[in-house]
Amino acid sequence: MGMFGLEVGKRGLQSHQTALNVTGHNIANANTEGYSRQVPTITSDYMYSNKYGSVGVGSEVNTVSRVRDAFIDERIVQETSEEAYWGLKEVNMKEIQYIINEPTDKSVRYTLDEFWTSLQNLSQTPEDLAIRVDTKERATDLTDTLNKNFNQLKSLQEDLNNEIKVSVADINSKLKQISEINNQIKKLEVNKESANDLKDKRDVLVEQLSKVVDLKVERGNENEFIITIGNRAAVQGNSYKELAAVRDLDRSTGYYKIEWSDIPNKNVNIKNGELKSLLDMRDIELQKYMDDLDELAIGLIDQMNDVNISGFDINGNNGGVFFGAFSENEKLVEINNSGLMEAKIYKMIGTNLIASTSEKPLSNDPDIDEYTGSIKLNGKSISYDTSKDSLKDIVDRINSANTGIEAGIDPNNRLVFRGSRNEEYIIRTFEDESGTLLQDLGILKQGETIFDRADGDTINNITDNLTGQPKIGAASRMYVAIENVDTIAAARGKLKDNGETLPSESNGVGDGSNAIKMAGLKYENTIGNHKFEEYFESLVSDIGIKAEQAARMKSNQENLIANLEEVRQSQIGVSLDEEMTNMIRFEQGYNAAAKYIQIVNQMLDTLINMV
Amino acid sequence: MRVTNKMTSDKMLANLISNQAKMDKTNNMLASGKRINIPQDDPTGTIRAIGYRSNLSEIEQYAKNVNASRTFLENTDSALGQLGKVLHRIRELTVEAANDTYEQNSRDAIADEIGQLTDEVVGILNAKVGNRYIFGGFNTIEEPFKKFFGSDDSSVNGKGPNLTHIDGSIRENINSDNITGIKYNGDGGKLNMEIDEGVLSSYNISGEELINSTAGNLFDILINLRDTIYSGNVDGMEEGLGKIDVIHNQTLRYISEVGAKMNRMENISQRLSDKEISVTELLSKIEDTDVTKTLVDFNVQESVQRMALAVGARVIQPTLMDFIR
Repeated sequence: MGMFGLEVGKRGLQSHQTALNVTGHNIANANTEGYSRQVPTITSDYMYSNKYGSVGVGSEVNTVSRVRDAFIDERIVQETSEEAYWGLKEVNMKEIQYIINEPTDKSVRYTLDEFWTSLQNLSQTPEDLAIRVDTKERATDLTDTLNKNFNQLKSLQEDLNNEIKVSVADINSKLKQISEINNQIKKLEVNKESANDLKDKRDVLVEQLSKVVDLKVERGNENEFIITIGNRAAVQGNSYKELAAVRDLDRSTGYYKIEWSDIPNKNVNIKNGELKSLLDMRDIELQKYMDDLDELAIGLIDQMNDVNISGFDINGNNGGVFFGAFSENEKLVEINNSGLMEAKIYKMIGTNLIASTSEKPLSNDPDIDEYTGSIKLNGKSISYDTSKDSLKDIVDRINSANTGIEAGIDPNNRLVFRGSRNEEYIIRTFEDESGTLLQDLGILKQGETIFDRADGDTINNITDNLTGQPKIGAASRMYVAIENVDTIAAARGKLKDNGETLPSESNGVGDGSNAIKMAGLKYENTIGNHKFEEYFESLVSDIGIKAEQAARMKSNQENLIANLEEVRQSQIGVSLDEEMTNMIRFEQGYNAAAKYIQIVNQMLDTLINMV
Repeated sequence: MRVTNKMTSDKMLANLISNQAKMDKTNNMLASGKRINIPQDDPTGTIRAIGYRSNLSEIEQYAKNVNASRTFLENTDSALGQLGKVLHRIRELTVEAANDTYEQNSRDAIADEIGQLTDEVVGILNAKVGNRYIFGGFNTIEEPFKKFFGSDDSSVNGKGPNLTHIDGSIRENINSDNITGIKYNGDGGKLNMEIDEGVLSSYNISGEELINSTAGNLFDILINLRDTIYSGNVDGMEEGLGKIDVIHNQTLRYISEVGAKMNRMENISQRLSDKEISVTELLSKIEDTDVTKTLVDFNVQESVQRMALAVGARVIQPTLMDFIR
C-alpha cells in the first residue's frame, strides 16, 4: 500500500473536482441557447491483483458527454422549416390584407360601388355638370385605388424578391460557419479533446438554418457531418457549396431564381422554410392577386369603354374611350421569331346588330336563316340551332364551355369575342365548323370560315373592329381618359326602325339611359362568368382563407415545436436543483477523498515514526 | 419527467404570450366595435359582409333614384293640377262668352283673360325641377315651349296681329301683345330611372304627349278659341268648348297616371327602406362585435392571465438554493 493509497486519494480528488467543474459549467450555461447539459462519467480505474483478489486503484472521469437525442433534433429541424414557412406567410398575408383593405370603406370594392352609384346619379340628371364632375371624380377614385393596390402588391413582391437575395446570403454564411465548426470539431477530436460546446453551437446553427431552408442532417460517421439541401450535400465536413440568387432572364421582372453557384442553370429544389415561403408568396399568391386585379381592370376598362363609345355625350357627339391603359396603340399583328405574321388580338366585335338578344331566336334577324351548325373555338366545338337559340343562349354556351375565348354582347347587341386570361388575353383560333353563324354575325367576313392567330393572313378574314392585346399591369396604369366631363356619354342614340345600323344621333341631353347601361355593368357577367363584384369577393375570400390557413398552420406548428422542445429540454436542459444536488454530492465526495488522504498520511506518519 | 428551470419559465412565458394575444384580439374587437377587422378573422363572414355592404350601397342608391323620380312626379302632378284648373277656368269663360246676349266688349274682356291664361299655361308647362325642364322630353335644358306674339314676324308663327270679325270688319292689331304661336323645343323622350336591379321606370310626360290630343294641339285650341271670341263667332266657341273638354279629360288622365306612379314609387320607397333595415341588421350581425359576449370573454381571459401571473411568479422562484445553507 504506502504511496499507492495517496494515489487513490488523489484520483478521488481529481474525479470529484472535474465533476464539480462540469456542474459549474452546466450552471453557468443554464440559460445558454442550445446548450445541452454535460454529464461526467466517473469510472473506477484499472485494478491490480494481489493474492486477495482485485483491488481498485481509485476513480477517473472517463468522458464528459452531452445529453442529446439526435432523433428529436431531427424532428425539430424539420418542423422548424415548416413553422418558418407558415410564420412568414402569415406575416405577408396580413400585409396583403392591409393592402386590399377589406372590409372597410377604402377598398377597391367600395370605390367601385361608389362609381356605380355616381353613374346612377348621372342617369338622374345627365345635364348637370356637377354630377358629371362627380362621376369623373368617382372614376378617378376607382382607378387611383386600383393603381395603388396593384402597386402596393407589386412593391411587396419586389421586397420579397430582395429578401430572397438576403436569405440566400444568410444561408451561405451559415453553411460556411457550420463547415468551419466541423473543421474545429475534427481538430479537437483528433487530440481527444471535448468538442461538446462546439457541437451545441453547430446544432443551434443548423436549427437557425432550417428556419430559412429545409435541410437534412446526415451523421454517417462521427467525422462526417453532412447537411443536404435539395438532395445535394451543401456541407460535408469542412467543405460547403454556396447557393446563388440569379436574375431570371426568362421573366420580364428579372426576379431571382435560386441556383447552385458552382452549377449554373441548375435550380435548387427548395421545399420548405422561409425561403420557400418567400418564393411561393412572390410567384404564386402575390402574382395571382396582381393578375386578378389586372383582369378586373381589363374587364372594367374594356366594358366601360364599349358602353361609353356606344353612347352620346352632352353635345350629341359619339362617346369615346372612358378608361385608358390599353387598346389605343397596341399592335394587332407582329412578326414572330420564325418571321411569320402573328395576330395578337384581344377583342373582336361582329358587324351585325341583332335586334333582340335575350329571347328571340337568331333566325328572327333578317340576315340569319334557320339552320343548325357548329362553331369551333380553340379546338372546342359548340353547336347551335338558329331557329331556337337566341344570341344570349349561344354566348352563355360559349362561356360555360371554357374555350379560352369569352363571348359577350356589346351595348349595340353585337357579338363580341375576347381572349381569356388563360390565353394571355389573345384570341387564338376559331372557325365556322359547319353553318355560317360567325359570318352571319359579322365576326368573320362573308365567305370566310377560319381565323388563326398563327396565320397572320387570316386577319383579313375577320371584322375590322379589333382591339389589341392589353398589356399586363393594366391595373397599375389604368386612368380616366375623360378630360372634359361633357364627353361622358350618358345618352343613347336613336335606333333606326330596322335596328340594322348603328345609331348616329343622340336621344338628347336629358337622356341618361346610357349611364344606366354603364351602372348596369355591375350586374352583368363581365369577367368570364362572373360579375365584377363576385370576382372581387372571390379574390378577398381567397386572401382571407389563405391568411387564416397560414395563421392556423403557424400556431399548430408552434405548438408542435413547443412540445418537441419540451421533450428535448427535459433531456438536455439544465435543472438547477439537480446541479445543486450534484454539487453537494461531488463536494462531499471531494471532502471524503481529502479525509482519506489525511488518514493515509497519518498511517504513513505512524509508519515513519516507528522507524 | 425531468423538469428543468428553463422548461418552467419557457412554458410560463408561452402561456402568458398566448393569453395576451387572445386579450389583444378581444380588446381590438371591443375597441373597434368590429368582429371582423381583416378577412382572416372570418373569411366567409368577410365575403358576406362585403356583399351586404355592396347591397346597402345599391339600396341607398335606388332609394335616391326613387326619391328623385318622386320629386319629379310631384312637380309634374302639381303642374298638371294647375293646368287642369286653368283649363277649367277657360271652359267657364268660354261658356260665358258663348252666351248670345253678350256684347262684343264683354267678349273681348273674356278673350283677353283667355289670352292671359294661355300665357299662364305656357308658364306652367315650362316648369322645372332643379335645372331640368319637366316637359321637354330628353331636351331638359331648353325651355320647351317658346312663345310667339302677334307683333312678331308672321312668317315665324304663321299668324299676324289682325283678325276679321264675324260681321266682316277687320280688328287691327288686336293680337299684337297676345300669343299667336307656340313652338315646342322638346321631343317625345321617355326619361328612365333604375329603381331596382334591371328594372327601369319612366317618370316623365313629354310636352309632345301632353299638348297633342285627338282634338288637336292644346295651344292651337286655346289660341283659336281666343280668336274666335274676339271674332264673336258663337258656333266656333261651342266647337272650341268641345275641344277644351277633350284636352281637359286627357290632362285628368295624365294626372291619375302620375298619381298611380307616385303611389308605386311610395311603395317601392317603403320596400327599399325595409330592405335597408334588414340588410343593415344582417351586416351588423356579421361584422359587429357582440359586446356582451366579448366582455364576458375578456373577463375570463383577464382572470386567467392574472392567475397565470400569480402562479408563474411562485413556480419560478424557489430553488434548492433557498433551502441549503
